[in-house]
Amino acid sequence: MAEHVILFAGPMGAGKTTAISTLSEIAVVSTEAANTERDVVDKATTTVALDYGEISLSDDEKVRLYGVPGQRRFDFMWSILKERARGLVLLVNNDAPDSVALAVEYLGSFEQLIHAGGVIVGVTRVDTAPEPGLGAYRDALSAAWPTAMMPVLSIDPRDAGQMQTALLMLVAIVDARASIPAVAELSR
Amino acid sequence: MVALAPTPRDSAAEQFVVVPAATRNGGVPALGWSRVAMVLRSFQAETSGIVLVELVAAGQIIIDIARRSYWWTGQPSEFPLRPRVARVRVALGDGVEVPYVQEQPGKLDELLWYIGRLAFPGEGAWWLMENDRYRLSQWPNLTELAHEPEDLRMLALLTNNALSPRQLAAASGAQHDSAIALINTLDLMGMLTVVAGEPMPDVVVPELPAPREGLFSRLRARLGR
Repeated sequence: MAEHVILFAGPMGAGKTTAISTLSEIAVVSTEAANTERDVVDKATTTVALDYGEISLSDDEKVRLYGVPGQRRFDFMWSILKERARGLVLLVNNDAPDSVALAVEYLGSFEQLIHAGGVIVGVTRVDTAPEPGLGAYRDALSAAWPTAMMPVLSIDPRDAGQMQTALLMLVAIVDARASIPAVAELSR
Repeated sequence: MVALAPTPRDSAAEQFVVVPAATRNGGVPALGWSRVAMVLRSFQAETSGIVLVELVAAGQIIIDIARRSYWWTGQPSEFPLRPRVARVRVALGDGVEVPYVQEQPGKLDELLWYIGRLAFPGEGAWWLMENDRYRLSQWPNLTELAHEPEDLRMLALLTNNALSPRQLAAASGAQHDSAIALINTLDLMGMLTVVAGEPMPDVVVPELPAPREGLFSRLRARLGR
């Protein structure tokens, strides 16, 4: 079975579960993940949900969609997933306090995907909270990762067309990065 | 949306100057969308000002550079494919008011995305240099812009590589006209970095996996896009 793991991260309320549900061909499965490092993580937050959905490309090939908490303190929960992941969709709700800093904070847990896979930032709820603008996110991401250029999109996780655009965009980035190292060599 | 304060038409009109049509090598003048594109590209570095585009039998487009917005009487889907442009006027600088009250502006990027595709059919925009290559400096907000899946492939390639239109077409499998139209558009939107340099060999760029081999193509087919 060939599989392609795509992660969805972001703060609670950003729309991760909805986004996966919109894309998935199966009902989203929420998996309780037990804390194995209780000395590190406070007991009150020892179980957290992972969301799972999938898209079948053929009988033996699937795109697996995982919603993860994304914060550093929960890294242990999905370190294996992170190793297998090809890309990340970070969702941030624009009405969250200091949402731009929040996006940078969450992305800090995904350095490997920023530099070797693909990352897209989807800003949700821009219809009800138009500020900050997408430019504020771009500027903050450029300051934090000057050599990486990540797409920043306004997105409605309920909109299948928009979610498909985001997923295809992410896969295009991963494909381009993985398939044509000679292009980079040529264009230097 | 903040309503804009109205300005009396007589006083507003005095602030604007007519922009003559650009010509290529002193010859053919820019017409239609190419005329508008040449004007907008020349004002790309401006941070404020108003551009008025008068279309023959299709109303007027008002562009507010500072707000990155535009107004038009119709829907974006109703824009003419090949308009006749009667006149383009501009007033640059702070303090220039939009001459009408309009409640629902569109986003300027949507207009530029549309114009850029149509302004120079089959050729590079007149401000582009033949041997230049282009790298993406900012992704357009594609959830708000009508696009084709091949646009995604080309944009992804331009993210990490500086490519000429010919190289972009070869690497993506897209038609050359599609590649040049995308580069025209992105440059009009100010989303490209230009790499000036030596002429590049024409077809030495390895192509992406054939359409049925790559994950992108399989996913695209699965999603019916």
